[in-house]
Amino acid sequence: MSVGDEPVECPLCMEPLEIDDINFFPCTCGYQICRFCWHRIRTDENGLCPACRKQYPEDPAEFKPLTDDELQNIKKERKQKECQRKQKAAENRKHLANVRVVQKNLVFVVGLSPRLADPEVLKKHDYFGKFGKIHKVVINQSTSYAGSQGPSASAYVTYVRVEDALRAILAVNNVHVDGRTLKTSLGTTKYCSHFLRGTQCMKSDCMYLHELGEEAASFTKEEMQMGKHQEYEQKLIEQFLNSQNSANNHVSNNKIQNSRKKSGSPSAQQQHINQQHSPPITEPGAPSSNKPQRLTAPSGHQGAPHSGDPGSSTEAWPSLQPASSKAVGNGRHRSTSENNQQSQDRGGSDVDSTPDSPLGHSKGHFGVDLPPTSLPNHSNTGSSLAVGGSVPKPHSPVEDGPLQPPPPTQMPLPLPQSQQGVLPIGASRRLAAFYPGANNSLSFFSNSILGSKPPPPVQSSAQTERTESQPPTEMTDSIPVSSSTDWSAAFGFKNKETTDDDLGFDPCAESFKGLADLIEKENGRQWGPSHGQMGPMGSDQRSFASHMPQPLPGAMPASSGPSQHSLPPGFSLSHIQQQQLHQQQFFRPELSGSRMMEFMPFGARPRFQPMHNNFHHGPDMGSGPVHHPASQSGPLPQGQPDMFSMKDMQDQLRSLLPNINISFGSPPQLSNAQPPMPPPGVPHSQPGVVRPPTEPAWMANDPAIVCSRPVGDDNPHWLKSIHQLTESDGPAQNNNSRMPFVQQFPLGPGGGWPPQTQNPPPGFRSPVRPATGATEPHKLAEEWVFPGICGGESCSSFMGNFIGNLDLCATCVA
Amino acid sequence: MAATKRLTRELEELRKSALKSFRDIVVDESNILNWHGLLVPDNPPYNKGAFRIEIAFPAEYPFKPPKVTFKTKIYHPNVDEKGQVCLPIISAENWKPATKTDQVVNSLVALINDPEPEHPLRADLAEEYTKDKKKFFKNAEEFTKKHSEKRPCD
Repeated sequence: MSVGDEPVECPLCMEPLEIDDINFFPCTCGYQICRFCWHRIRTDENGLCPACRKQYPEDPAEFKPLTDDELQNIKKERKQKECQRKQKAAENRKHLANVRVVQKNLVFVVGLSPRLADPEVLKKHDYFGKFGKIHKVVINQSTSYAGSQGPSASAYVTYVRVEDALRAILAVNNVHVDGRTLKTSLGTTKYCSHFLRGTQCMKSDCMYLHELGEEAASFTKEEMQMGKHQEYEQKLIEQFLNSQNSANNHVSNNKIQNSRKKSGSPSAQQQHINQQHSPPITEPGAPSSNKPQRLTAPSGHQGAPHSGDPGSSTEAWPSLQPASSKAVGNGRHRSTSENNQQSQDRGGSDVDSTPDSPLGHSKGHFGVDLPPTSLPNHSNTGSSLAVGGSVPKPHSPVEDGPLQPPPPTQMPLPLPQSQQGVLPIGASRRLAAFYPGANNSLSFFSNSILGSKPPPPVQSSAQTERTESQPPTEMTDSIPVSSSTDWSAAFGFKNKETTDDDLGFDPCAESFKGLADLIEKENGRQWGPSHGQMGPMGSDQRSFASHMPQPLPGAMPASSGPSQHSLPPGFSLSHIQQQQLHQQQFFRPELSGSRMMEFMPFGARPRFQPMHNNFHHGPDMGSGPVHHPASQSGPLPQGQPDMFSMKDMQDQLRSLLPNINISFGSPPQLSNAQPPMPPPGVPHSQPGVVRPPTEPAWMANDPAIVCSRPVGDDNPHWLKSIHQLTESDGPAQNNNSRMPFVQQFPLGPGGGWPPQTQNPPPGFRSPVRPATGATEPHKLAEEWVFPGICGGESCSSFMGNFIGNLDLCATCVA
Repeated sequence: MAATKRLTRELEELRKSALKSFRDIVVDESNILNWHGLLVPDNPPYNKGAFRIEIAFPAEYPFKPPKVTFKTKIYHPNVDEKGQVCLPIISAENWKPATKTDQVVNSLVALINDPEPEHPLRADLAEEYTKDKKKFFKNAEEFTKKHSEKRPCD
């Protein structure tokens, strides 16, 4: 028998034949068994050949012992084969060290308060337990991602079912709990180091991967930096939503009339937009205290328009509540999907997922805008501040000159306060959508709402709130970004597009854009003038643009080119709208405000990703029709008969405004650096609003956004995080920072990432070690010296003196 | 344990071969020495049903033969009331460690399909089989319909 690739086995015991069994044939029939079995048959059994049942002869019929040389050769061959096999396995998996695999049933949550940072708490039905059976919860108490939100933990929640995880992500993302904004995304997992080495993992509950993951779900760190895994997640969520929408639509249709329209009519889309507007307001989810107010207020508003929507009951997840309502649920799904699309658009292509061209543009713009805001922290803060400042009053300008745009709006406004308020609101909305400024938008609303009251007082209230909230918001913006990036870098996690969704305001922006387009068409005016008027806004936009690391090319063109090349389209539109409004004394802004008002309730419902969702679903909401008209006024055809005349809209808005003020008033102030003003009376309600801005900030900061960007050179945090994570060899430049990664990945051994790669394969180590280590011991032994206990030269020499005594050198003794 | 390794291998092969006459092999993971399976004969009068059998391997396997017993009652000259089978290939004197389980199973299927009245366990049935085959077939068929398992569809 020759040694083949597969070792020969004994037919009885199935054990591979020993080297010296290979030529062992005990019976004349030629039936080969191992000597172990042969011995056993002869001693314990009947002594018959297991095949022919002949008595075994005393000596084996045929046995040629191997010569030593043969033995050596065979042993060598076997060792080599073994070595090669191990090496192959290791090399095949080497590249996997840099790969992270998106786990469809793993939810990654950030922003957990200490109270929630407990697996048992999170497993409760009030929290993640409500979405399905949870396999495991792992809490990461590290507060590195906490950012401005204060100490918060992150958690990996593993669901048994994939759908449950997706539902949890959709429902919990951007929810405010204990004064923090929760961010959720699909988690990724790396390969177990044991698996990479081709060895058995002895950890029974090891959550790392021990088998090759799905190719489509596997991403290198590079790819993750580019947000590819988010796209993948987006796909999953869209699929999930699509599957769910069909089921939900039935319910929604029954309950909501508007929902029907959604199916195809542009009006439906507009409605969605409107919803989005409202959601932003609610989303701002200010501190816990604020939350209830918002919720209740919105719910109340909603209640009237939407019979179907149950007032969101306060649950563990505030945001979830809205989702609970069926109508909302539908809206969410769609909105989420749209949001996702938007986020995707932002990430790379400006293509609009939404059928409506105007909307799509707005989306694209927003998407573009958002990333920039998120990238530069200061820019973000500045923008947010500016927004806030603009909204409240000229005061804001103090910090951010350019940002101040809002003030100008107010300043120039000869229009009734309500109008002014509306205009600012629109701006604020846009801003909010883009930035943390969302809060500002809220504040704007309050101001506008208060309109009748002197703007300053409102601002003051807002300011006071802002002052309180501001620092956090700013912090959140800047910090969250860094944290998120760090996160993403560290864990390979990136914020999902959901974060973009959080911006929810985008929908508002979209709606605004749509409105602006319409206005433009009607007025036939150009952007330029609007900018001039908007002055502050324009400056803000500029600032944003400048801040923006790399404006997406697609977005730029899509956006109103004329207004500002760099500026996101959304902003330009908003400005235009405002200008137009002012000039024409159009109440459209008001309309938007009214929309806001109406939607507010809606927004409250959908909170999670309400903004986007709401927008999309907006039509479902009773308020939908009103919004539609406004948005539709321009290019969009209005499918809904519900449209109200502008005047009616204005009236409604005015009537609504007081309520709005109450509900939303203060929040916008958060981001503003403006000096605190004496709050007229709205302050209480405002705080709730404040939070929204934080969310936007988050959005901006979200790593996802960063990732989505083509190339984020501007983000220092990013780079830093990346550098830290990668421990890149060279100096990390913004542009170059990524390069190190790439190099490292392919080169493996050179890079710091895969430490394993550097290590020589097991087979190679042995030669090296013996060479260095073995020699000295030998010398020592020859000299009769104790193998250098202290290992120093002095020791050996010292030992030399005491040969025979076996004394130790001083250091050794010591 | 040598038996475990060999039985694991044999079980794999047997399941892979997917015999039509012996299927649904169930093995308790904690005790691979005990197999259960469904015997599906092709010949009348046993082709109206299926029969559960148990194959019990000794710890010394393959140096000692396995034991096969019927868990389903069968009207057969070579199977007694307790379900014990007289199968030459697994008799202690004939057993060869080189024999594999699939050979045992095939031999069993052949025995059930074609009874061997020369080596009966139930003399009365063997006598009936040799002297009045028609009656034997009738009885056996009735017995099979009454006691045997349902045959798998495919």
